[in-house]
Amino acid sequence: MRWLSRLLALPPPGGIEGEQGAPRREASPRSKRIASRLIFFIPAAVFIIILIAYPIFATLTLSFVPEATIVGTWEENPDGIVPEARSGHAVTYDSAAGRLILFGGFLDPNDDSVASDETWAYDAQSKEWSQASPGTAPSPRGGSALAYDAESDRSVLFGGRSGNETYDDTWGFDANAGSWSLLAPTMSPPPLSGHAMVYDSESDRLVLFGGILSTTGATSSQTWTYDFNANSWTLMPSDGGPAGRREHAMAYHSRLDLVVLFGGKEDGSSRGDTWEYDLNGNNWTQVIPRSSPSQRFGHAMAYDVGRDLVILFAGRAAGETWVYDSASRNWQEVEPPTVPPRRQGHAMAYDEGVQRTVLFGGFALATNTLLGDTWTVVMAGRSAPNLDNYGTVLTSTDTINLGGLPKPPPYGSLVHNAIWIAIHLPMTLFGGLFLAILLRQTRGASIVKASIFLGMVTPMIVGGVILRYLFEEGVGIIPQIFGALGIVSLSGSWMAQPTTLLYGLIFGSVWMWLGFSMIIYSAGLTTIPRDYFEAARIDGASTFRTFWKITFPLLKPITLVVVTMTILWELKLFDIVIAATNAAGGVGGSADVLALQMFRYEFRDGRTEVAATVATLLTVLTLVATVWLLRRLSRR
Amino acid sequence: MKIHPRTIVVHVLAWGAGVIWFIPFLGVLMSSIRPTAEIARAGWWSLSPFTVTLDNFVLVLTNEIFPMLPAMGNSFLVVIPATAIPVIVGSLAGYGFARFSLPIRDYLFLFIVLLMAVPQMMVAIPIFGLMDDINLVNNLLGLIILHAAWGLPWIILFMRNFFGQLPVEIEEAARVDGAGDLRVFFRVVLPMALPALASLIVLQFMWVWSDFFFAQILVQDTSQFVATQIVPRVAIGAYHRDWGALTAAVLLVMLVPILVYTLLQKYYIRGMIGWTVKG
Repeated sequence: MRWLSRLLALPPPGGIEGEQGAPRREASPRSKRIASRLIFFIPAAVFIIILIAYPIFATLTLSFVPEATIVGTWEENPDGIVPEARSGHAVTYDSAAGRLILFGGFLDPNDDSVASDETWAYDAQSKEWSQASPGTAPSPRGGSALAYDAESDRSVLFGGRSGNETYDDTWGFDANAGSWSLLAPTMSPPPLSGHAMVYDSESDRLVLFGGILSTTGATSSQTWTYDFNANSWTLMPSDGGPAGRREHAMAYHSRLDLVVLFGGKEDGSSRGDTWEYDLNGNNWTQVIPRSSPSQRFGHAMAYDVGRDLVILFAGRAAGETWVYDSASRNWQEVEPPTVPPRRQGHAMAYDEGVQRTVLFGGFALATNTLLGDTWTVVMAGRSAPNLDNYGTVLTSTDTINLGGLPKPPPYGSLVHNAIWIAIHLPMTLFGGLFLAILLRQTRGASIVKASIFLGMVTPMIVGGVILRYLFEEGVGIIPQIFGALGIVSLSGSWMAQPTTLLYGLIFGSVWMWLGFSMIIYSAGLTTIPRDYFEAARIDGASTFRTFWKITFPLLKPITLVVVTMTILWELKLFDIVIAATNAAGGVGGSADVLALQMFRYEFRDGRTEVAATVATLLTVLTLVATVWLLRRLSRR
Repeated sequence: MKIHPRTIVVHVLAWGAGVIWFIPFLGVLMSSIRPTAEIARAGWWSLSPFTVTLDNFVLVLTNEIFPMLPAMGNSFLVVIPATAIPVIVGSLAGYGFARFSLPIRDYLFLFIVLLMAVPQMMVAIPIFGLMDDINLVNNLLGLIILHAAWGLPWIILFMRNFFGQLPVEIEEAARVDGAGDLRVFFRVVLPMALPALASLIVLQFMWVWSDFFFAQILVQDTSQFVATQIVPRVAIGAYHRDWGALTAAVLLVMLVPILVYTLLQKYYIRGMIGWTVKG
């Protein structure tokens, strides 16, 4: 650390703090003096800690979180006695009975007036379905909603429809007694079907949202809550909540006390928005996740208490499994080896006993058939922080792809950055120095300097677009020149071919960056006394010899700075590449660089942890370059 | 007078580089003021026909999906406070680092110097989450404070080095007269630092104006786009291969930094040299 203390050695701090400092009129106590001086540091500290230091730490931490945090495994249950195939049924998990409760559903894919009034219970432990035989039951229907009120030990059912009849009745199912009772609250939501309902255990209320209103055929955007103890429905004042919809899905995230809503359908168009509802504040908030399932309706959602994740499965014309992490407010697609067939109008609930989410039935659009299969899915929990992401990144062909050399790019982002440094650094370093020396002896040097420095003033994103224009066949001057010279291989669009894209960008970036070393060296040259050159000339030294023996060694500290700044610039390349190509880094990723790889992983692919790892690796490289500079400078 | 052949070679090389370096900009200029059809037919270097038009600029400035005019307005809304805030905050801290001895001061300073090297990508993920939590995504205020913070490390470094070279006697005199630290700073030190502040302002202005990455992660709402976000979208989406419009957009976004550079060149270059050579 000696280099460190030498580097930091300042001119003495001006005597203010020194013992021999001028005597003060009022000697304030030392603590008060320190306090008054902290004011100089505090604003900067607040900005730096919150917006630089903490986020750096957070990204570093994230890079150790295993990416494949969530591995879903679907299993189909063996056939036995199972409910008839159906869709639009409702299920919930009765935690006291340890059973899933299922009610109703549509039984004919072509006729929605054929509905079921059966009540079934599913024991996930023994994987057995059993039909309850309650005396009275709600009338046959589908599109109703069922949620288990744990406090009162009742599964509450609301609404639904059969043919043209839509219901607004509220029922409670007691699994111990195996009986339904009509609750008949004084006020209730209008007749609805295709709504969603969950139980908010923290507030002991059921939360109902949306659905289709039978009266007008329009969708509802109302939020209702039901208090079983008071047997009363309450319409929540709505302000800035989700737009009306039906066949959406909701799940209650018990740890964060939030209702999560996704998707649905309105006026024939499906939705892909994610919302969170906080019942205590009656506050709907739209979430803008970095990645999200596509627009859909007729999907199902459940909250996996053990893994702290909301699980979403399938929906109209979709068959994927997604999980929503409320902490990071992001959806992530899980790709299990086996997946249930695509479906909509199915139902899911999380079984706390076996810690699995159970799926039943639904409608298969492709074959126009109803399904009667039972599946369970389990999400593997997060493993402890480790270095796996670094292995993933460093072994990925996105990063290093040198198999089968010799071959044209892509060689992987890390290698591309290295090639960039290998070509761009010497070219700009010596090019800039050479120009700086020439310009000392040139008339009108300031005009030449201005022309060359223009690239440094140009925003890099704009520079990338200019490069595209420069290398485009037909309008770009570079292919035109090579065409005129008869070099056919370089007369096409450089940016469209892996063989030329990377090198085109590198040479283009030399054009942009050369002004930097030129300006810095120009300033550096003025610090070398003319006598040195005079003396060398008198001694008969050649120009070349003078350069290597005098100029270059004297400029060494400046060279160090230019080298470091240039390497940092080459490592952080982003704007030029994305503007000249696309988020993939051009054809086959043949101009991909680390910064772009990070951006793509995070903001296109939603691979947060791996993106954080790429960012960390990039930062390590930049810090190595900087520490190297600081050490060399301190040796001066 | 005999001209040394060496002098001729030097001039040919230097002026040659100057001309070659200007050609891409010339291409941009030539295409932006001519109809795209003319460029597409024979390239911008072909001078017949040569029709001058401002249609490309009008098209880009008022485009329905990605209009440049409000985006440039947004850029100014971001750049001005994102320059003013860190210059003041960073000068305060730079002065503190140069003059006050506090415990672990030097380690803190080294930490700040190292922060200069950290790429923006290192904070992108948590920053998005943080801004989302405080509802500053799609809000220019979020971009402003982020740029303000990211300008601080080099501003602190720059000002600490600058203040370190100022003689302390004047400050001492003011102190003897009973002025407090803050008063000394604002009344005595800062006025002496005006040229340095001009350099800071020019450089920070340029960097914030040129930024694309932070804007790209924090602003997704078209109406809040800054100017640099419009350019690649013109290139990719709205008028793919409409080189007239594309080069007009390029020129518009370049115009502001070029103007700033032309008018305040002295401060720009001095800032850049001070930032590197003396840093």
